Amino acid sequence: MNCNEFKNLIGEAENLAVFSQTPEAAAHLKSCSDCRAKLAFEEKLRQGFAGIASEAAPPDLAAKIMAIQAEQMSRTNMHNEPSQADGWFDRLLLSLQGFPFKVAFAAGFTGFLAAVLILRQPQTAPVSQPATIASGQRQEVPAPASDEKLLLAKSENKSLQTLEEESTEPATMQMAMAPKERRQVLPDGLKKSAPVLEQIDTRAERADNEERIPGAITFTLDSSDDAFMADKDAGAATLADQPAASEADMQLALAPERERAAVKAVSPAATSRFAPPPAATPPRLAASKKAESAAADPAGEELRELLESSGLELAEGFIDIDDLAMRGYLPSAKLRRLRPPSGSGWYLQKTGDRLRVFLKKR
Amino acid sequence: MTITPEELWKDARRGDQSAWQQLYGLFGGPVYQFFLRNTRNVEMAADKTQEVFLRIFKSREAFSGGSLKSWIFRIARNLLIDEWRKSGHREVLSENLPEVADQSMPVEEEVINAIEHAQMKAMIDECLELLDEDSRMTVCLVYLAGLSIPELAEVMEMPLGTAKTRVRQARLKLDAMLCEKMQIKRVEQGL
Repeated sequence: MNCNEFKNLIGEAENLAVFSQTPEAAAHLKSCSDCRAKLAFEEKLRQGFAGIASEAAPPDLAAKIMAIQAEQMSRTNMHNEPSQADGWFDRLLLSLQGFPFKVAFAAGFTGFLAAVLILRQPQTAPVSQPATIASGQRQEVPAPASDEKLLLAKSENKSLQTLEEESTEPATMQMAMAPKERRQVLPDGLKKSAPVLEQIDTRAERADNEERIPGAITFTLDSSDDAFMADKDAGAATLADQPAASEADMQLALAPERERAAVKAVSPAATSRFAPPPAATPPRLAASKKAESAAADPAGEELRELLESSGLELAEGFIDIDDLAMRGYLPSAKLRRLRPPSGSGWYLQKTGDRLRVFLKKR
Repeated sequence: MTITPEELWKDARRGDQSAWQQLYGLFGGPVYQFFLRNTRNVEMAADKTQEVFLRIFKSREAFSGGSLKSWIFRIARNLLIDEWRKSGHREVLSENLPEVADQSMPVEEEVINAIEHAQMKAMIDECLELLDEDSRMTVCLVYLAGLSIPELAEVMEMPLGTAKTRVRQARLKLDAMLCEKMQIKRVEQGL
């Protein structure tokens, strides 16, 4: 190894100690003082550079660089977590991590809780007293006890009126449903129920006030005629609601006032719920009995007499009085008087030689 | 058992703060001194050092293997060249460097041995400032950063022979300056 080779190799050597101990380098160093000086210079130079490299950096630089890792890792996690989330709910929660989303979510959840709490409050309106809010018209729900009494009367073949006489409460209820003008004069049997009627009025008025919707149009039926008409419709509806109501009862309830008056003459108890009931026959049962007993109907009796006197042979069944009038058996004056109400007709029944004429619904 | 920088990097990129701290201990000082000796600006050196570590962590997926030291100083070198270009520096690292003659004066062994470590550091620092940018950067990469010639070739993206030539030429310049200073020191000290 000569000096040039030594100079070139010493410049490229990574470890001077190792290089100087190689046999060629060691042999050359023993015999060459310049190369020994060169080796010493190289060692001093490298020590000097190592000393420079080991000079400390500014203290705050270390803190800044240490923060780089934590910051970058947190950013990376925020970017990667949505894609790593398994389900849509996880992604939704991750998307809600921003502050505005948190506020919106909290507000929505609070509103939902408030709505649930409000809806779970018990209803203040009494369920047992329904009312037609728009019309302000009172509708009393029949007390269960009355239904039980009706069923009991049916089973025992006993009139409801008989039961009502035993207890004045149903009569009191009927009077409470009547217009005030009609209640000014109470029957003797109901005078003792006057305080009860006043209580019912007070409660009904309070219920009306509670159940009226603010701003809604309400109608109050104060005149006795209107109240009567409404009551008449209510009576028909009440009969229709009863499964045991007969067709005659329905017909009678829907009939005009004049016809009802005519029927009232036969059986006054069948006209209205508010009419004074007969002594022993309930109104509905009385109406059924009237339909079945044509002998009690003067119009039917007149028609029967007319048929018997004319010697006309008619088949059993409905009688066409218009046909009789066309054939000259029935004068026009009698035709108007004997015309049955719409939907009904005179029915002829033969029992041996005896004829029986009564009204029957077609 | 010594943990290599590459093993530390594997832990650091997964969030291991201890590994990250050890990596800073290994490369923080040399990178900072690399920028400081090449820019002579303490703040810029700190900023560039911080940027190097920021870049290596941001682009941690790009490091697929090899020498971690070479990767870190390649980034540092590219940042330095960018800074030179921004400041209107001349075109650096031309391929065809002029041949450099050995102009170093021989220095006796006892004169060299008499120089203290601190004196040597100061002389190196002075000589580095006098070197041209290309030679200074090359010298710093090899002797400050501790890169081998093959690693230097990798960092500077040049053939190994070219890297050897650059190191040799840079050393001739530096040695000439240092020998001159040592001779002056010898005269001053009456050795």
